[in-house]
Amino acid sequence: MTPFLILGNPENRRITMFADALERRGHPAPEIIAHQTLLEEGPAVLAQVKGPRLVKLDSFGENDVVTRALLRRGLPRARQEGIRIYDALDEPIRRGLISSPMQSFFGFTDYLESLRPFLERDDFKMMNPITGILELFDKRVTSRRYASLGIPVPEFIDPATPDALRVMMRERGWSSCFVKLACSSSASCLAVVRRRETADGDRFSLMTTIARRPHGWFNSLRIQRVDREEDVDVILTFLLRDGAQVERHVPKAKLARRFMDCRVLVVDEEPAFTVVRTSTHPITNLHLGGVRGDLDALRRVVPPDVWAEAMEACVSVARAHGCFYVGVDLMFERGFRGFRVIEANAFGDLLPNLTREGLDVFEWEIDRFSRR
Amino acid sequence: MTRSVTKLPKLETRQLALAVTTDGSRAFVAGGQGRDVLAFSDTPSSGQGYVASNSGGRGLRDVMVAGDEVWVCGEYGHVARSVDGGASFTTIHIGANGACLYSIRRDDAGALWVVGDRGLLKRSTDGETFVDVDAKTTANLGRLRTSAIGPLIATSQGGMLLVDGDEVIATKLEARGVMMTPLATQQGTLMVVGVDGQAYRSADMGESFERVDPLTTGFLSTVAALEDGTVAIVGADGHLAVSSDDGRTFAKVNHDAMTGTIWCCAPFEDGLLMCGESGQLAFYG
Repeated sequence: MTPFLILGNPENRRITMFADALERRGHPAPEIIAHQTLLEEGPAVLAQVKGPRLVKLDSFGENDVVTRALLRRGLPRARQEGIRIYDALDEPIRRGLISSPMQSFFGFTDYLESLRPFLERDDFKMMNPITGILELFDKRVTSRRYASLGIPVPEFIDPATPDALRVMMRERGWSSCFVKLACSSSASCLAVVRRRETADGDRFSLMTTIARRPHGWFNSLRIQRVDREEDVDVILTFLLRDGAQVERHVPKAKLARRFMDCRVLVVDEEPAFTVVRTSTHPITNLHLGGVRGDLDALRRVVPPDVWAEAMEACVSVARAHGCFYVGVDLMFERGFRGFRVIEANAFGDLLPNLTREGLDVFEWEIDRFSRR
Repeated sequence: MTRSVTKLPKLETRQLALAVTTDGSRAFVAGGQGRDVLAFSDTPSSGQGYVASNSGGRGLRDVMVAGDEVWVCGEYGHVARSVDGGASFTTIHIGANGACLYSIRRDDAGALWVVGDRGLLKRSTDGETFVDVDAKTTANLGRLRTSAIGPLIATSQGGMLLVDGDEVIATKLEARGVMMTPLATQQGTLMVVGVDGQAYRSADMGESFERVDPLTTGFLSTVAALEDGTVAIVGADGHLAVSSDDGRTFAKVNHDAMTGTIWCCAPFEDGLLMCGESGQLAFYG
């Protein structure tokens, strides 16, 4: 049995759960190399690993030291590109603070590129390739890529300023759109812009979790409405300046009177697991008040051909990045007549308490990847 | 010449149509997601007589026709050939290793070219044996169009390739993101369109490019030349823009015949056949 090599944050449950799953499936204990180690000691650490190895490159999130190291690494490019920078790197980052996702992405890109020559060797088989992981971290890249492949996505625009956004919405007759930081995750940096026609012209408001506080911009984990035009402008300027994916808010279908979408985990070119997420508002993320919905109930209301096409689209997403597994966020349009891929996640396989044929998600991945 | 857009009956499958090709009297439409969508018609500009066929694929991305011979390619490395005008198909194994194949075309010298994911470029002179050609890139190769100067290929990393014999030459195009379709106009100008309203033209065989205004910032899927030299660009939100000065300037054609993205178009008779989402068809002529 070829042993696994995992690059991640060892204390994170992603890693502990995966290691436990390996043990349950009779695999040898994985070799785990911490992102922190690689960031501090350099990628040459990997040269000491004897092959063959099956390699899982996992999330760098939820670890303050690693997060700051990546921000530090992204600082030169962030300065060069004129984006908002975060340089208070000697102190722990306050909980919920939106430091600078783009700067972090620059650091992450530089870090992964430094690993590339050490990971892309004949006796290492990676679950997800570096190129695929990096592509998946920019929502602007993925949206355009999927559109070019014929995968239905919400229509997107590319405004540079709040005024340009207003003009584009008006021109297109959009009543609502999503503005998401291109390199953020988990709905942590997004706003839903609403346009309302009045006798005095269009009025714009926002629904967002972003809040400005004395110490900077925070993700409040509480969805709030912003009506004052000045506040709307400040938040949109913040999002657009850092590089945002802006797309039409396509009304989501409802299940049991709640807005719904799905996380489809594609494993080995197959839609292996599906989680239905429902909420009273269109942002269905589970950490923002969404709850898991009833997959069987969903299957009963989606026409079989629409379901089949949607699942195939999710597979196409994984194929587009050459990834063994990808979490695809999928929405159905009202009446379940159509669907759209909202975004995809390179580390989207943390789906606890799901089983298929007696195997949990990680066990399923391990079995499938080992057989490849 | 004054033209307008006529809405045609939808394809019965109501599926995504990603490619269309014509041969003077017939049109072939291909597409689908996870399934094979293929239809052909002897009277395409009326939208009548589209007969469904099946090549055994799971999502087609291109179709090519020459006489009774019809070739299709698509997802999962699928290539199939028909010798009876599209009524039946035989799968051809080209060693694509499961890659998605975006185009199949025959050049002026008779060679077949297939392009796909991660720099896949293959050529065949006999229709049975396909050999690798080094595309010198790992970008996904998008649509390929043949021209008098050789095959042109749009890439997913903002580039355009030109094939000269067996040598692939990267033009000087430095666009941002996915480029969808290239074209050589009747006057030999190179053009290419892609995401975010990007449209470029080169009057010096790809040595330099100028950006042209297609009158939208939205997604552009295809650029094509009509019989009289008119250049047409189509894309998201039913966008159709035409140029009568070899692609320098464009005029938007207002219509409500197609909503959503126009995924492909091809010259037919003196106009342009367009296909898109949910089996939508329209004719500009």
